[in-house]
Amino acid sequence: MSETKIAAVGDRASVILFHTAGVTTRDVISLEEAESAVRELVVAGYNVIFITEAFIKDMTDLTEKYRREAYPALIPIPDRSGSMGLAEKKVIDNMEKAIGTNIFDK
Amino acid sequence: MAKRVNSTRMELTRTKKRLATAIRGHKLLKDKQDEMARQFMIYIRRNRELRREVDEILSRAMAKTAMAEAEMGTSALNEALLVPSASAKAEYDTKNIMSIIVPDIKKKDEKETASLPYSLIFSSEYLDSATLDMKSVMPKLLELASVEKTCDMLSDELERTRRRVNALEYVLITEMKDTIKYISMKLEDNERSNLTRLMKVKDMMKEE
Repeated sequence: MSETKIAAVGDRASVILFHTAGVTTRDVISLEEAESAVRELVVAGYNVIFITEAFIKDMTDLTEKYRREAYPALIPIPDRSGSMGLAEKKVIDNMEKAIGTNIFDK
Repeated sequence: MAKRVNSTRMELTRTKKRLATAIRGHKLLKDKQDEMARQFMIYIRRNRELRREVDEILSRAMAKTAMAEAEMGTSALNEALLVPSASAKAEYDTKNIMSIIVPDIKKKDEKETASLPYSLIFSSEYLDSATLDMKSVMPKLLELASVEKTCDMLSDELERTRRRVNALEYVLITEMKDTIKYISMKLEDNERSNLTRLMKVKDMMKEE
């Protein structure tokens, strides 16, 4: 058991609240900035990185790279304008991939 | 049609042995797949539940922060939130689910800190509510992180195992059964032709 290092990456308005909860935050404005922030955080040993949906949806390279490893966990969070339904869709996608069908609707 | 093989007894025995191994492997993999699917269902249900809760609370908290920013102004808001009100402490480890190493994050019990880190005189009530919401959602966020990652990893592994099970069941095992049938038919055929030849020879000898 070791200490988890937690970070949040996203636009300033969305991640400012994470700062109050004691999470390291990186406010970014573009996808490139977000990607390099995530890379830096991973190198710095952060295990859990929350990323706003607006950025994580285009970070397929990074998410695929770490998909098979237990850490770091790159987790989408809604941004200020609310959830885009991306994370919920991911749950359904995982379900369909594993079981072959979405049994939540049945 | 089975692959071109030598129709010998040795080949037949070897194929039979391979078939037995393949059937045992198939059964084991199928069991693994069933158990993994059972575990996956538990995690994915929890994942959906947590995801809905977290999305709702976070969106609400962020909307409240936006309201607070509108009331107080950006610089006052930044100043108010400069000092963290809590420290997000958690411990991480891994656990083994059907030989897949998945994350396991546990929130540490921490001592109560001052609930709001700023002066209440100049701050908006929306900000108070948002800060408290954020603090309360943190344990759920961490649980979500480990559950969601577990689901990602399990779904990948389940897909892989399903492909293996199907390949064994519909390709390898079927092919080997065909091969065994082909070899035994060929051997029986040889046997019959041998018998007829002997009978013929016997007749010929009688005639002499």
